[in-house]
Amino acid sequence: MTNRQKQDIDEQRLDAWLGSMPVLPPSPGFVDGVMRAVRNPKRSWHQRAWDFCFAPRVVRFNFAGATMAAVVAFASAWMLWNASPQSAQLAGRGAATVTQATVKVRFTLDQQDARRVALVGDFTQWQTQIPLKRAPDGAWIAEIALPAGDYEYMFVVDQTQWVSDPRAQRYRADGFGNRNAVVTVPSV
Amino acid sequence: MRNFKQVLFGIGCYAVLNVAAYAAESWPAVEAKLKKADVPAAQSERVIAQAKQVGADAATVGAWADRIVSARAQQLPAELLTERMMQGLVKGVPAGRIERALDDLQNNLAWCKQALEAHVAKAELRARPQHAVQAMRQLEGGLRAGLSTTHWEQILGKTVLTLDQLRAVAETSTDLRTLGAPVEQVVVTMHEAAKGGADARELDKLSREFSGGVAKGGAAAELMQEFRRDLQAELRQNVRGSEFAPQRPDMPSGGDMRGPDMQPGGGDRPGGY
Repeated sequence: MTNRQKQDIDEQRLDAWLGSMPVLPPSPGFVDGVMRAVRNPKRSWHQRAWDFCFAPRVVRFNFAGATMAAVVAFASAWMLWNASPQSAQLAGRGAATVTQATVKVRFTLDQQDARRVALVGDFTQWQTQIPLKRAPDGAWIAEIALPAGDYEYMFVVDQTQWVSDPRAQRYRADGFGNRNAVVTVPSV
Repeated sequence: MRNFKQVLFGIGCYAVLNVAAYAAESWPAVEAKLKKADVPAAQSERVIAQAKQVGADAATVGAWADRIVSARAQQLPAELLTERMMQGLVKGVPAGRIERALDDLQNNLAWCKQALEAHVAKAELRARPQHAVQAMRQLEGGLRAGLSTTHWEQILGKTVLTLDQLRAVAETSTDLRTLGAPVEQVVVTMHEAAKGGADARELDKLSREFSGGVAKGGAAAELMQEFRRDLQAELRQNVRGSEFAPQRPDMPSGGDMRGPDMQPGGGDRPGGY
């Protein structure tokens, strides 16, 4: 005898036993009690809000829709970033520099034996070296337009030797044990 | 014994995390930090390129960038720290020295900001932010030249100045000190200049005479006495001139840049800095 046949016989016996049982009416109040227990009580607003927020949901999507949503979100974030006050401030700072009145300042170094002289300073944030040109008398000269203010600078001779301008108006300690020359550009 | 093991385990974890953080520092992370400090992209690229050229590692430059971010958070002109860092890199200064210089600069700028807020009207600081940075540069240059915060407190006293006045006082004090004038004489004389409302042109003229005298081989102490005498004469002239000039509480009279407390009867600001 297979398991399936055994199971069928058990079910037939159970049906016969249940059929032999007397049918009793429920006690008074049984139906009301059950209904009271299963009735959904009126829940407060915050319980409903909690369920709304945290009840698990099934989200259906397709690949094309998800890609479109991602593109829209990325484009919105990019536009918001570009319109942020920080970016506006940076753009404004650059514009101010362009429109500010400037004065041409001449830098001269009399270093006859140098093969190459460059100028570095606050005005280039110490990043770009401005090459000086050799004049007929042998002196090295550069002319640059600067807005009003004080600027620290130094000459770089032959790309290795840092030289303070011996004819500078004033000098400042550079914080590393040397001194920078200072040029003051008057306001126009 | 169990506590000891726990402490040992904690120390071990801390060390491992630190080593991991140090190892994890990379150039893109440094770039992100510089961006956070509002350093323009082109500038941070040059900083990183220069750092790589001189062999500085990302962790070291990352620590400098952290300092720039922290200066920005303190509302200090962080671009000055970026400039100092770049200056150190292009000059081939050792990393430890750049670290110390940035540390000093941040502390100096924090003090300069306080000094500006104590001696210049808030409205002017708000209206002329670029001039405020210039004045901070001058004060910071003075600190580098060996005039301590105590000296500056003595020079500025309880005066309220315009930004131009403060910049001129700071510039001249620093020039005098750089040219070898004794500190005590600089402090006393420049306090008189600040209190008397000496203007930038007067101070510039006197400063040039002083540097000319030094260039000719004059003794700095004697030249300083001469500077003080000439300054006092100029200030007396200004007071006489202002007695006949129309008075406005918000504007210096007759081209003189004296602040509100410099007006006749103004005196030093009560309960000030």
